[in-house]
Order: sequence, then structure tokens, then C-alpha cells
Amino acid sequence: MSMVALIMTVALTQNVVLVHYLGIYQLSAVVRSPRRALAMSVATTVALVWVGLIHWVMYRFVLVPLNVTVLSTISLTVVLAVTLVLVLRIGSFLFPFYRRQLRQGAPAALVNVTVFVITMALVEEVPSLVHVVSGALAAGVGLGLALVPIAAVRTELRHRRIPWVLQGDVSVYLAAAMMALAIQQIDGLLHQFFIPLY
Amino acid sequence: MTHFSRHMTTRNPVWMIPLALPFVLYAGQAYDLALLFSVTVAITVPTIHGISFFVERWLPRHLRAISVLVIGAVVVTIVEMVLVRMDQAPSDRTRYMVQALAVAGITVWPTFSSPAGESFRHRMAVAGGLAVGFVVGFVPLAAIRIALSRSGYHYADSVAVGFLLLAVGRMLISTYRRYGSAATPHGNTPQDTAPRGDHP
Repeated sequence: MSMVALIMTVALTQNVVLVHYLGIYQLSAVVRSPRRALAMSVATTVALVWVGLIHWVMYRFVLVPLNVTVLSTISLTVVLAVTLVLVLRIGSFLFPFYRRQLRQGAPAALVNVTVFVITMALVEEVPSLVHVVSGALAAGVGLGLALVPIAAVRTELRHRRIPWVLQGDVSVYLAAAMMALAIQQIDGLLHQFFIPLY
Repeated sequence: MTHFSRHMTTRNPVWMIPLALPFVLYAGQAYDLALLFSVTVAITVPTIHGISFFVERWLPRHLRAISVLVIGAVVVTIVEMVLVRMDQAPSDRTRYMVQALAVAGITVWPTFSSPAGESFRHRMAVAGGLAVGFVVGFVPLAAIRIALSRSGYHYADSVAVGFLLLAVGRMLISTYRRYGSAATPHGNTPQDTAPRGDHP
């Protein structure tokens, strides 16, 4: 798969939120404001690239030569857990006044289905490290492309008079449904050019 | 209300605190996927927390996450190996989703939010409530989507329709909570539950 095809596939036609819904757990909390959604997207992108790098090295140089690829879940989870502890320790030391935000944000950005599934798929399906990093970056961009507009819609709706039954999570789900429908149409158009990654 | 029943109802991981949305939207497409994820979540989540609780006692509080993640990965790997042994090897996408149970919100959230000095009974009540709440919340959604898909509406498999059904479900729950509980002696009146600004 070429680099352009990989980036288009991961960022758009297999968008992590709107096509596969691998989104962050507390979607409604993440999309409370566009700024928060952007921050979470950037944090998740950094996590995707870092975890992708480490897991690719582990997978190609340890698991495959020893023929124990069945342990890849454990390997990736250990990478995630150690990274989480390091981020919390180093972050608390460097930014002591942001300790509470770090304790809330780091697990959400790092230990989630998006980071896990994208990393697993890229490392197993894509041969080179450059492609893994590019794919991780593209997935992060795709996450931002989905989360920031949903957050913008939610922020806009908060200042409008809408029926009480549509307030809160319902407006988030409806915004996500409409964007997923739009992405689905784009996906249909691009599907003949780009082969699905997984 | 006990912790178990609270996590099944007011903190349901599908409808109220959506910790399991990735699995709900993916697995609600076909009967076999729905069955696979219902059984897997019901088995793995309480098992992971049952084992992890005792390991966590030997670790400092900030390392609890490592315990639940590693034990989660081991349990999920065993489940995966059992599936392969039973000649039920899942497709790549399903396999990734089964593996992702190790790091899913429904699995790790009870650890991140557990109070200091938590008892084993409390942890198992939370984990069990989440697991049963997942199945209880997931089955109706999957049944509707699969029925729609079987009736010829192929878009029912899409994420858009999944979100739409979730939105409709939340509307029904909100309506029930606002008006349905008003008749009970201790229930909130519509005025109590109205958003700020709607009061006369």
C-alpha cells in the first residue's frame, strides 16, 4: 500500500470515530468544547505515534523472531501501562500544578480502544516503521477531524434554545450520526481507490 | 440501591455512561458477534477485576493501572486462544476488538475510579454490575439493528444508524426519568429535573 493510500485510508475512509467508532470512552466529555476535543486529539495522536513505534520494535524484533505473536496483546498492553505510569510520573514532576488534569487526561488519551486497535492493525498489516508512524499520524488527524466539528456543533447548540429532550448526550449522538453519514458517502466514493486496511 | 444494581441502571455502560460504545456499535451488527461479545464481556470483566484486586494490594496506588491492564491482556489472550482452539478464530477486525477489551473503558474504569481502601465486595459489585449492564443494555440495541438489517434496511449496520438508535434510546430514558418517576412518592417532579432556565 502506498503512503498516500495509507494516509487517506486511515484518516478518512476508515475514520476511527465515524466509520469504526473506536472513539474515546467518554465521548460527551471529550467534545464539551472544540478546544478540549483538539487537545484530546493531539494527545491521542502523540500516544498513537509513541505506542506504534515501541510496539512495532517489540513485534518485529522480539515476537516475530520468537514465533510468539499470540502474545502481542500482552506486549502492547505492557507498553501502554508503562507509558501511562511514565507520563504520570514525569508529568507530575515537570508540571506539578497540572497534576489533577494529567491524572484525568493521560488515561483517557492513552488507554483507549483507538490507540489499541489502530496500533495493532498498523503493526500487523504495514511492513515499515515509516508507514506505521504516518498511519498513526493520519489516524490522529482523522480523530481530530471527527471530534472537533462534533464539539463545535455541541457548543453551538448549547447557546440555542432546543427541546430539553435533545440536550446533552443526545445532541452529541445526533451530530456524530450526521457526520458519520457524510463520511459514509465519501467512503463509498473513495472505496474503489483505496483498499481497507482491516 | 446497591453498587451492582446502580451500575446496571443509572450508570449503565451502554446508555448512561457510555464506556462500551466501541463494542456496542461494532458487535450489534450480527447475531454471532452479539453473542460473542455478550459472553466475552460477561466473563472477562469480573474475572479481570477478581484477579487484579488481589495483585493491586501489593502495589502502590499509582501502579494499579499496570495490574489491571496486564491481567486484562492475559485473560483476553486466553479467551482468544480458546476461540482458536474451538475453531472459532475470529476475523482480523473482530480479533482486534476482542483484544481491545483488555484496555476498554468498561474494563479499566473501575480501577481508575475506585476509592481508597476499596473492599473486594465493592469491586466485584462494580465490575459485575458493569458486565451485566453491558449485556442488558446491548441486547435490545443489537436486536433492533439486526432486525432492521434482516428486514432489508442495510444501513442499519452503519455507525450512523447506531448513533441514531442510541440518541433515540437516550431520549426515551430522559423522558422516563423526567415524567415516569414523577408519580412515585420519592420521585422527582418534572420541575425538579428540568434544566436550569426552564423554571418559571
